[in-house]
Amino acid sequence: MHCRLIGLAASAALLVPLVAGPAAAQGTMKTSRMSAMVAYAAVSTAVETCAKQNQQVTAVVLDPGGAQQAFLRGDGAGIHTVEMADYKAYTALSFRTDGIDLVERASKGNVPAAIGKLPRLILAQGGVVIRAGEEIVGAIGVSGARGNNIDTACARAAIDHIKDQLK
Amino acid sequence: MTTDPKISGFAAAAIALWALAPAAQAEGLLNTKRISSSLAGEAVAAAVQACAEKKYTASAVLVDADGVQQAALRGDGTGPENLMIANDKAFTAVSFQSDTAEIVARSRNQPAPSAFAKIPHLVLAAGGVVIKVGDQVIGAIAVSGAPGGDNDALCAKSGLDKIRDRLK
Repeated sequence: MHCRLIGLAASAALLVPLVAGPAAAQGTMKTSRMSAMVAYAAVSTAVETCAKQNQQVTAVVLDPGGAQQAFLRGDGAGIHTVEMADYKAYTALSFRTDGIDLVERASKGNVPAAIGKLPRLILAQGGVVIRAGEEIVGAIGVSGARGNNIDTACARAAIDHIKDQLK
Repeated sequence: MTTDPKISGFAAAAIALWALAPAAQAEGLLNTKRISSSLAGEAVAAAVQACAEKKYTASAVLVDADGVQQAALRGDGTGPENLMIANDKAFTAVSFQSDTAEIVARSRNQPAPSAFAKIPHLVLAAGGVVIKVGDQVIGAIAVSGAPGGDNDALCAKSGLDKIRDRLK
């Protein structure tokens, strides 16, 4: 009986430090966010990249909490693109998954129940998670390009442009 | 030949109206200008940076002539409300075709327009600056987050200065 208790205590003691990182033990977690200028560089690169392909888009960068950091409506981008870009970024961030992968999953019948229920979640390509190493530091959403996952390509071009600054 | 004075009066009025209406209007379309997306982005970035250089944490929003957002940038260290307030200041500036600091100044001597109490997104706060080409208002830029509306307005004007020469 004693042995079992000691064993439990020992394994619990061993497990706790493994599960909880040192930051959590202090009651706060270290998080990262993009600077304003990096967020701006991302939206302007996305809009510009798409414009060069004659695609009129809007781009939005959200911080890890889903709040807007940067927004740029490209010349000629449709009215709805303003909200769609936000929804796409929010959805990617929330599911920690690029929209294009969610669409792929959905094509196999795996649609998260929350999509269709919560107003800001949308099943569409164009939202891409932004990572610094393993940590998600935000997401970018692009809306307005016609077909062929061009929104996603422009979003990824934007991330390529800023990736060296995500350290 | 006799001329009916009533008819010639009408004719004179018609000519006067025609002379007053600009050519574009006579054709049923108004010529308007819109700030390009890239300039809109540059302006908000410059406004946020101008504030950051003074150690002010602030956000900036640029709206088109219809009050619709073209570009927004949340400055480092700002709260989410700054973006909303900046949006409302810019919206107010284009609506009244006037810098919001001027609207605030006017409201010290006379009551503010009743719309301020009724219409969402109209705010009585300095920091919204109209963007003009000639006499035409083509948008507004606004800043929120600096200590005091006057400092917001200065950062907004720095943003506008960055693009002013290219607005034609």
